[in-house]
Amino acid sequence: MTTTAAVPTPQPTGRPLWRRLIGFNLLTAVALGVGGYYLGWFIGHQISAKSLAYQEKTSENDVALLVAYLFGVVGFLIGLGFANYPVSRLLGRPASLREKEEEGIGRYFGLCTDHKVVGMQYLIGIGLFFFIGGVNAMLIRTELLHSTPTFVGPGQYISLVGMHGTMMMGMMTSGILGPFANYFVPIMLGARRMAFPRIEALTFWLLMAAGFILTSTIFFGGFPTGWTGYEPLNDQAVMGMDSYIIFFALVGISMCLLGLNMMATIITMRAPGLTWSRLPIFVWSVLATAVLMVLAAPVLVATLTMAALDRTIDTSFFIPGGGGSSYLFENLFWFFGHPEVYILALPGFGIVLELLPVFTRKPLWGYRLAVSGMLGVTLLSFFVWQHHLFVSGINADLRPFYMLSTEIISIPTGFIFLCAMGTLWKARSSFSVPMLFCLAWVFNFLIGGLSGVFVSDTPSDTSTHGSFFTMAHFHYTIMGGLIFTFFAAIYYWVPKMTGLRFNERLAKLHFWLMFIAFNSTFLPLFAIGMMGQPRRVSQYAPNLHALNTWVSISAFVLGLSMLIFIANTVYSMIFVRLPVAMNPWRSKSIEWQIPTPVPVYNFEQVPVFDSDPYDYGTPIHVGGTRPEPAGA
Amino acid sequence: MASPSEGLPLGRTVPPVPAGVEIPPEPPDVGARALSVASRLLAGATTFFFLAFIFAYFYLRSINVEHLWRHGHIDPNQALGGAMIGCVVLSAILAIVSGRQMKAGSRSWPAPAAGAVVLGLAAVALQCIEYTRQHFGPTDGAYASVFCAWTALYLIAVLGTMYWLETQVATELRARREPAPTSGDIGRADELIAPALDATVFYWAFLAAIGVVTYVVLYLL
Repeated sequence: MTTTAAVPTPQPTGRPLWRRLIGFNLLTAVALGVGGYYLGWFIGHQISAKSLAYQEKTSENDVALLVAYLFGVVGFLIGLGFANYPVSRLLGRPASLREKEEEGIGRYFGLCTDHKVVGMQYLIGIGLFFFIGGVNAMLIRTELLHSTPTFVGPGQYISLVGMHGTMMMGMMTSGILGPFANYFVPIMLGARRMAFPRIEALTFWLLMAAGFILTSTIFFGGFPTGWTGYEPLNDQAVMGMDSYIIFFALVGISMCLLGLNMMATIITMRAPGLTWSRLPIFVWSVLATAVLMVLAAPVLVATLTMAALDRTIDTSFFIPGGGGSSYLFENLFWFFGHPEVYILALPGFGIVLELLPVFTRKPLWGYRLAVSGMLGVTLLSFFVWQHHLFVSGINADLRPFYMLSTEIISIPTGFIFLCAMGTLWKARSSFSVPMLFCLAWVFNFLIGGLSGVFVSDTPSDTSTHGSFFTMAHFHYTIMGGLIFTFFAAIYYWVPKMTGLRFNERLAKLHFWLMFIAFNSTFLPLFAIGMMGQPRRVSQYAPNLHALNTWVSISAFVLGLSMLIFIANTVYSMIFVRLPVAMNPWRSKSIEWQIPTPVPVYNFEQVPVFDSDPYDYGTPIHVGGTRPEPAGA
Repeated sequence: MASPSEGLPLGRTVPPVPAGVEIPPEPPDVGARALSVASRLLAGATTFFFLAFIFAYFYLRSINVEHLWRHGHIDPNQALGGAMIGCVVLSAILAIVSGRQMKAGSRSWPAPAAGAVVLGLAAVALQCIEYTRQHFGPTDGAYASVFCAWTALYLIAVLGTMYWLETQVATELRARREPAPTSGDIGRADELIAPALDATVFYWAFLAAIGVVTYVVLYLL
């Protein structure tokens, strides 16, 4: 790599402590968020005063809660400083970033336009909500230790299921793009920042506000619809449903902006020489995901807006009594919902294909095939949504088309699989922890994909729809596909992000426990589903008790594996703090060629690329002097 | 890449760079291209947002549940609706003229741009007036629901775009008042106005086209 375009050496700056405490930061944001919430609550009550009798009778006021949430979010963002820039632009001040970035740990608790800080914020923030979603899963499995409602009632059970599903499906949409794409895509492109750094920060803080709002649903009775929010149950539900609506709408806005920013960055900010055919495969997967985010998320936001209007001002989009139709919700929701599955899966594909060459010391097999597979999945994912409605009374003539389009999507997905297999073929692999997680993806996603054929096929879907079979299928694709690659990325890239390394022994223990417990949990669910146990119901036939007990115990072991991961993180990152080698995986990708931790400005000089990052095959010489960092 | 990782001293950490330093500026052409791409992507996102309403319109109209799609008395005010869309179209034309003047190097481009902002805001005002005059509300069946929600969200989009256009005019006027601006880290103001205006004009023209579709579907069909 050669270099061009030298830039001036940046100088450290600082702000007085009092200024940092009372300025625009998380403290101010929480204060204004709470204030905004109560102001909105008051205004909402004034707006809806004419239906006061109804409110007093039912203790329900959807208008007040929705307005309170909106005001709360706006106050929160103002407190973080997001309103300063738009107001300054309104007055004609020129476009600029923040004058100076915050120093030290304080920058992680406020609006920061450094993509690396945002990446770290995402990692911690999403990890927190992933933990809450996981605790919900443990509670669900605790209830299913008994064949009749015991631990929680049926209403609380469905709320737990809804919280778990919504938290996981909503927050984890940015599970890989949030931390890892924000952190590494600009570096992989040879850029110093994202195209729109302020929007990048906004996507994170919107997501955090959304997560908090969803968690607050427990104070308003929860919601009974699961993560899909189906009508007419949506319209009939208590105020906890409003939390769901605002949560997913904020997630949709965050997703759309994140995708837009990623696409603009990848298209316009590539360093000289970084042609499309030299782009790291992870960046291609981010690009494909971003397309889905930009185009599918707006439909979700529009749908939830309609649902919110139905609940507040009595429009009738989804209310048959007023001329609406609940099938309209199903269609609109799944137009977003199925691409959403690929929003979760595609970054996982990218991680696996990015990491396999590193640990097999071989070039990526079928680079162009992998790219075409990702783009094929992106395109086709918009033409399959009605397979979710096979048993909901759709026109029978439509079923063959959607069955075929769904099954055709396995072809581009197969391309990805083929490229992974081709890269592994005759490789002398090293089985480091990230590699183990990638190999687990191969196993899990194969089962997820094969079981997908049964739910995409109309006749078999008729018997498996709404059962634990479907639940097992999507856990194999989403958890087996996304969460395993999420951990692969954590073990692979977090050492770069922090400069510290994980304890290898604990990491391997985490992997093996997680892999075995995951399969022990979800494989039996295929059988349980085929034997007729429905989703979202806490009561089941007594003859399924033994299998359910097995699954619950396995799920607890799966939870234990997560605790081992947390313990390893705390132990390695806080107590032991062993520094990581500059390039522990001996990767040829650019992020491993620059100093650790990555400097604020990424590169002293803009790098020039003259090849792709997968030219492995030459032996690595260990020892000797450290070469100049990329761009030096 | 030409600089592989051979010869790395495994087990060493490069000292961290002091925190709190400024990120060096991007070349102005990068910001310009990013804005241009972003405006196209935003147009795509906006299209899919309003497609949901178009889908709702035709879906509910075609199934016409219990003949509740549209009662006889539900008829939006054609004059106000026509005036509103007229303002939108005129505003978009003025914005395009302004963009062309900017590209041609004329200093008079803020005048048509300001006119475009005024007309855009007039369109919002006309739609609000229509809400107060129409003989139906959002609870009067499926068509009324689609009409009220779609037009209200369109107005929000128009307001946002007018804000965006206003920032270009305000930046230019301030730059004229206070020459040699030191915008700092993402390019000089005068270098960024042209691509920002170009992006705004593109998006506004696109949104106006969506407005025309809105008018045809909600008022004429």
